[in-house]
Amino acid sequence: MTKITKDVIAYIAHLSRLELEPHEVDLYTEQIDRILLYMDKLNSIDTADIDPTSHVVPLYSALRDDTVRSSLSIDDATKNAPKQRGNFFEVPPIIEIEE
Amino acid sequence: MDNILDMTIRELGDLLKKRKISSVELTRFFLDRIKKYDSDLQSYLNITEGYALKMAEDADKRIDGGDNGIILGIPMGIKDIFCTRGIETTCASQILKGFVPPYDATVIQRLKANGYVHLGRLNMDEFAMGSSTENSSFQVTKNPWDIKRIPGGSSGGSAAAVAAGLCVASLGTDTGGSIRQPASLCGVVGLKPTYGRVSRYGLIAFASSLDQIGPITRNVSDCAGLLSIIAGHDPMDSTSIPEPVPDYTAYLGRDIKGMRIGIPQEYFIEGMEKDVKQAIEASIALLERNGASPVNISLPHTEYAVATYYIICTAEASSNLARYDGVKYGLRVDGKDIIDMYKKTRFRGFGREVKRRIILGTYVLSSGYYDAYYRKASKVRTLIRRDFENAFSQCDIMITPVSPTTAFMVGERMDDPLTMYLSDICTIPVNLAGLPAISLPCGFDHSNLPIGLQIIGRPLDEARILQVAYAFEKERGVKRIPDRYMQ
Repeated sequence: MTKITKDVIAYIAHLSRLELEPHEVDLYTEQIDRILLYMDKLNSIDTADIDPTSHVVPLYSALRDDTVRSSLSIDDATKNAPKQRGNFFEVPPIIEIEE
Repeated sequence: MDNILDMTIRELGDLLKKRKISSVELTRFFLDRIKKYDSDLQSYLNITEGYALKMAEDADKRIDGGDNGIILGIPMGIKDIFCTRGIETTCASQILKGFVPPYDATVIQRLKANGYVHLGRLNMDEFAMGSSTENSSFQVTKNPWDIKRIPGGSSGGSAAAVAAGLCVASLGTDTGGSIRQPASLCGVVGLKPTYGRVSRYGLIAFASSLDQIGPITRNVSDCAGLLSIIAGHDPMDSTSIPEPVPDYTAYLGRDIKGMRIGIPQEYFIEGMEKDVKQAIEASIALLERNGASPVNISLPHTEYAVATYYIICTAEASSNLARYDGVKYGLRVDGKDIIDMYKKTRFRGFGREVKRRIILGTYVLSSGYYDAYYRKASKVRTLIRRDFENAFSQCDIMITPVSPTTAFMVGERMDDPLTMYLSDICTIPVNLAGLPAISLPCGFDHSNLPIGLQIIGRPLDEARILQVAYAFEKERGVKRIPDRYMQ
């Protein structure tokens, strides 16, 4: 029995913003199918009354005084950007503007 | 100078303070060794010679001024995953090639404040995803005990460099065994502290509910010394535990009489190599001769740990790695619109294993599958954690193997991700439960490949782990540098 199809892998790749080549879709379909079949073993455990664990240590709300502190300069924060202009990261147009 | 490789950090520190050697000389000694030996080992991605010598000069000045830190003037190699101001940091990924962090990770700040010398960045599996270091986008690191074999992963560059004497010590990260498994396969000491013990501010994230930073060293004393420097609360990491840090070195040399050692039966699985099993049994016998009492315990949900882990870690990775979009740093590949740019950038920038995990993680979090996979795994994680809580009522520490096999051949498991995942069966449950655990050398197999012993402790009980590890190491005395690196 298979758990996953090529169409699903292609759709998930789109959600993940990953371009895949056709041979990669084939490869991942086969490999992820095997991995998901292996993960089915979890279904043999009854977890109806079990709370999920998302963190193993109690998380505290890390509060601090609202004081002004120095932070990265704009130059430092933007200097690694592949494209920048002035104080901004530059990206391709997101919203089409009608003339 | 060759006996430098047999010395602890403390002993080297004494030489430095007595001016028997300067930090600059010590740094040159390791830079020369890297030039001599790393061309076939391939553990370093980048050697920062000028930067290292400058740090060494500064350390010598501090020593002249009477400064007295544990790692002052000590040359270290660092896994390529910690943001280091002004030093390219890539996580062994094409997508971060050329990224020069504008700030230091907290662990790097602490090492700098204590005067370490930065020799260079060490290879790893891309984004720490892997068990062999073969997933690096740049090079394949070899095992110093047999260069046809892998060093383990993901901190394979760190473990190989420490094992071959190409640095005094290193820092690694461990999400499912990435410190302990390479330490085991390379015959060195590697400690994964309790989740939250070491700040992860500035650590490039893989799976945030599992990742932890720890030392990789040639002996237990160095491990304890380094941990006391990097451990402790940090307001910059909300998962950092606000508990005081004990002086770990103070526990070294204390006897282990009466210590109850739990032996989880589920870890002695089918498929474990005979030599590994025998080495672990001999190790338990050694601890018993030194006054410890073995008790059989059970961790009944162990067989579900790998499935649970690969749901949780891929889910978290798919979210963490969404930030690599070609906008703020790293690679950008132009496309016809912004979505196309994201897709092309991520296609070109990520390697095969990283893409596989992003897809798997996105799938287990996607609408209609979330309950069946992610929620289910989070519940099983509770059961795995409870197994440890229950078992620790009968024992003080646990002893297990680190890896069911010794180092495998380069290329052997690359086409079979599931088999590669299953090689982490003994280390993964510890991360799911957030516990501290060490890997230390306990023998060799019939091919002269190192075997590692895992000691697991209660939350924040690193001191007891180090106490037992030190007692073991003192008695066992394992040879650490392979002959080919002593010529």
